[in-house]
Amino acid sequence: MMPDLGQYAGWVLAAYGVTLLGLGAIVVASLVRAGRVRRQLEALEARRSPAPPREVTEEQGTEKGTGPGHRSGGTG
Amino acid sequence: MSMWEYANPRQFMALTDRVLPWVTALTVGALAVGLAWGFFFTPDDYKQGSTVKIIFLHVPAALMAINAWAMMLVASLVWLIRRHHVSVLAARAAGPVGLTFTAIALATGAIWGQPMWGTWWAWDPRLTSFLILFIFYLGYVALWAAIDDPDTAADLTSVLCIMGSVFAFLSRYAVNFWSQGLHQGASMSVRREDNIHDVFFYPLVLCMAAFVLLFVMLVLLRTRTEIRARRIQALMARERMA
Repeated sequence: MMPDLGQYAGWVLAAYGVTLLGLGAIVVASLVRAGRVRRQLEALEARRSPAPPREVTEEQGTEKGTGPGHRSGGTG
Repeated sequence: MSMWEYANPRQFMALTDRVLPWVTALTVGALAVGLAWGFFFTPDDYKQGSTVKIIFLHVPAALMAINAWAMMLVASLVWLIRRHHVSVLAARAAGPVGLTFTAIALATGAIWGQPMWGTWWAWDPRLTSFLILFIFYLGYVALWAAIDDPDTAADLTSVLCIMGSVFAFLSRYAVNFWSQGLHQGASMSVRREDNIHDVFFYPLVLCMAAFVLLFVMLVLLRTRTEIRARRIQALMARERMA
């Protein structure tokens, strides 16, 4: 499988090693930073988004005197 | 649809969402096939022996070192003239990628030069202008990190990019201006008779295409990250003011 690189084997393998190391480093660094920034932005935006309004049932509205459909003189 | 619509960050993010997976797949395929073809399936050169296989790393890396700077130059000019943030963020994203390609070109060149020329380095016009280009890349990346205000950083790095373009140009054409020097002329030409042999030419073209795709993939990914980082800064500034 491995080609016979002869007397220059060390030089050729060193060149391929350096290249793969360099390309691997920039790819990994880019992916790691991309993931970290994306998660940070998602967390920030989740913090900013208002919570959905709580659903008030008719019972809760009648008991506490709040909520839609409540009339001070009772329902009718 | 005009190209300028992608100066809008949302449009850019929407487009790259669709495009990036395809570019990534093409990059992985081209790199794997190109490097494997060059390493495993090309013969030794009659003069250079197996060191000729370094051509499949050195030439594409050198090509991209210069082309990355050219892309940064265009993006910087768009920023200076039209003040499109996506453009300057793309230039910022490309800086470290171009720096990596330049370092690989210098390192593989030195590794190739030692057994062939008997020296790791020579103050040859092409090598010297390449080293200066490497220093400009370092300066560009450092300047972005050193300045807090993003628009000021964008302005100053854009000017630096214009100045460094002289050396990017010289790196490519130095052999035409100065006849002395150790580094050979171009390995490829539009004239077929000036090209290297086909057995090396085709895998070399594939490796060059693979490096171009890798550059595009990384710049798209990193520009998306820069846009998100800018949004984080804006949101945090808003929180501090509230």
